[in-house]
Amino acid sequence: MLKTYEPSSIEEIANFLGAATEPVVFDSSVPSHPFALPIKASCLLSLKNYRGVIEHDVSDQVVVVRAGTLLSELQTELGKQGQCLPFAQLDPHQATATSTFDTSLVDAIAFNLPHPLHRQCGSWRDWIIGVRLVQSDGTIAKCGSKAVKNVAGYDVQRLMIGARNSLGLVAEVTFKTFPLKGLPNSGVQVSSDHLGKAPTWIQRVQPSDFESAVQAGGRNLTAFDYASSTLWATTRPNEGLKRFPGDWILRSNAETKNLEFADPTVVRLIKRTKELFDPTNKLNPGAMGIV
Amino acid sequence: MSFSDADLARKLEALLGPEAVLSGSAAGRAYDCDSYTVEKNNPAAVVLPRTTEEVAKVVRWCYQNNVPFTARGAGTGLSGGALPAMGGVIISTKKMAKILDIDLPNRCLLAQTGIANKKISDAVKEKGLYFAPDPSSQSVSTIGGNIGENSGGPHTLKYGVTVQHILGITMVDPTGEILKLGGKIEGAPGYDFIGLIVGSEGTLGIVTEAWVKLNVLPKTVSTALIAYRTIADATKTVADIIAQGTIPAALEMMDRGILRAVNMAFGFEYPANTEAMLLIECDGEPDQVAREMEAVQQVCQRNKAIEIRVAEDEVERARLWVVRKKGIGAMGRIAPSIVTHDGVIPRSKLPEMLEFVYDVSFRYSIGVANIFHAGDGNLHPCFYFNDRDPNQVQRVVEAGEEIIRRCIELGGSVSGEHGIGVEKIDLMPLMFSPADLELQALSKRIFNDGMLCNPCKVLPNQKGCVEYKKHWKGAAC
Ligand SMILES: Cc1cc2nc3c(=O)[nH]c(=O)nc-3n(C[C@H](O)[C@H](O)[C@H](O)COP(=O)(O)OP(=O)(O)OC[C@H]3O[C@@H](n4cnc5c(N)ncnc54)[C@H](O)[C@@H]3O)c2cc1C
Repeated sequence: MLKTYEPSSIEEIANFLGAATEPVVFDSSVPSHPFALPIKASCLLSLKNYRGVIEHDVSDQVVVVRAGTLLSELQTELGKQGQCLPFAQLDPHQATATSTFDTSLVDAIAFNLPHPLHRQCGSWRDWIIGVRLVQSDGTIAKCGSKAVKNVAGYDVQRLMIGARNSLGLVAEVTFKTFPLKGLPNSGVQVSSDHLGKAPTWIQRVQPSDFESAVQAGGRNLTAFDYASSTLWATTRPNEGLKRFPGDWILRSNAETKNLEFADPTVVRLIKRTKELFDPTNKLNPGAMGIV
Repeated sequence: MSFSDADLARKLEALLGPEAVLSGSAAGRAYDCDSYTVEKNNPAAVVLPRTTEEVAKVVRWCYQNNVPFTARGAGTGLSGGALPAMGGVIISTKKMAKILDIDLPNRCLLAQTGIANKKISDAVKEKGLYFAPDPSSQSVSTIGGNIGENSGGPHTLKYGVTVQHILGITMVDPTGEILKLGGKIEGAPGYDFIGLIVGSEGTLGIVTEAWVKLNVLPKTVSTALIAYRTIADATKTVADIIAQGTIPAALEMMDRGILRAVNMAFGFEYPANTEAMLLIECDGEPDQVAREMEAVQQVCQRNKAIEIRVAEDEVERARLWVVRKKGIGAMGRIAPSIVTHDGVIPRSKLPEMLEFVYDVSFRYSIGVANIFHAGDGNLHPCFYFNDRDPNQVQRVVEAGEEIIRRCIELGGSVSGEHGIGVEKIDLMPLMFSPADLELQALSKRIFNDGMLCNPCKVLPNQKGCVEYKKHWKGAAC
């Protein structure tokens, strides 16, 4: 049984993490993100009480928001001012087929899943300009700023995107927002074979391999996006789609194979980074699949 | 370091051959600073490797012998990033300027990092492609330097800065090991090491090769130059354009000081009583560009523009850009020395910030002209002065600090594109708390746990730098 903590201020989060002696997992809305690896921990820290917009500067197109906020909540708030984060406004089928389900910001940033407007509008690493992070010892530190362009110091916030909260807990985020008016349409194509079914396999290939990958994916595909050469598919846990040179995949039903790193350099660097940022290995231990 | 300079040069010659090593006082002077010339320090030697392996050889040797080393591209950096702060070896990428692979179907290109930014675009222009980051120094500044500083340019507003265009890198880490990170496909799972390395000012290792993204050249480009009678009208236009949902490819501003200089240097004409000009460019599909330009012009008119010149053809377009591209050069012709600052503020604070800049210039009796990336809120106040006069130099430094402090007070940053280097290192604590700086130091340690790879840059209070600082601080005067 997981002990659950639901702090409502960044200080509470910091106190809790600083004092924690057991491994902590983070999650906000669901017990476990579908694309997560299985994690053994005894405490769950949820940000579901740490929500809401802190500051939205409409004319500067900058918003500061608590990371427990749902993506849909943020979009609604921004939408009132004609702004958004540039996700496609997908119909529910498309959203399901591309796994762009509504989630807390902390989860969305932690998993950094591809989305249907990636090629046209970039992704989290392009929209996030600042972060307040709670470190494993409970220290609160910020990186980045509220300026849309900034090269002062090391861009530690980038390291946190896709890091599955294994290096620190992203507690507050500063985004650059986009005008709703200029939002392009997504070119994502949804397969009618799997309506309502979520993908278990996400793959990105080189554009030159994309046609072949779509062919190979065949009826397994739930959706594909030509612009970013991304495919979404349903696969059985012990099967996969054809692989292509330099491609990468993410999985949701393959247990320890949900995330794998083959390159020894990358494995070594991930280990080293984890040791530096979380020396006692208490933040989402095993979240990156490397122990 | 237990070597004399001559000894050290001989050791390096033994590694790479005599033609790859420069030493002696002339070489020292040629490499004692970048384009931020206020602070200088001589390197013991300069090496010019040709390959990743040669870089690795030199770095490994430096690591084993406890000799500091600093990467250098074209030396156009504006914050002292390539200054050999503790002396030691300058590793120049001058002889590493080859394009190694062009992958047209996948729109990317692999090059050695000593290649000039613009050479990449030139190489693929015929295929309708280009490399989007466009620092004004692009005809000489290198991809390695662009990566070091995460450089931007006039078109950053729409196309992003260097980090958005680097897919994969080969880097020699500070111990001399060769690391390959990323590849040709973006968005891969895992920690974003490339995102950390880009912008780290050569302090995490020496990037020797990079896969860069190629963009498709826009079908249509439309450029307008707009004159205003007041600074406020121009800055209001900037805010209004963005607020109404148009993101131009470029949105640049020049004030009267710049216009006058460009007029004197290149005969550029502009309406009498002009206090500021905006250069606005939209690009993309023809009908979209027409729509955007129409919207932009309406905003300009609403904000009392006194003249709107829209380029009719390529020749005129190039002419309109002269005022932006040659602005700093023109300033250089009329003043013995210039220092360009690089603060960022939230866009909406432009009017009050510019007023502050003029006030500072008045109070310190140092002339100032402004030419900058208005769309990003990235200021470049350009002070002109005589660097032979220590009193003037002192005033320029103080005036610059006042401006940067105000940028931070307004929620901005000490640097939008020129980096911290040594120039702004003492300003870092204004923007970041001790805990923030420690977090940065922690991320540096992933790659660089020592004091050899470009020491004394970016983070203040590094061990052992205080003593060296005496050598270089204010060396120009
Ligand atoms: C006239 C002029 C206009 C400019 N305009 C702009 C502009 O519009 N936008 C902008 O952003 N900047 C601009 N700059 C600043 C400068 O040109 C950029 O910072 C540029 O990217 C530096 O490139 P470089 O090759 O000259 O690098 P250098 O000055 O040689 O080095 C810059 C930094 O990068 C590091 N470095 C160099 N090569 C490598 C490598 N291979 N691996 C790792 N680190 C490396 C160095 O150690 C140093 O810290 C301008 C400068 C001038 C003089």
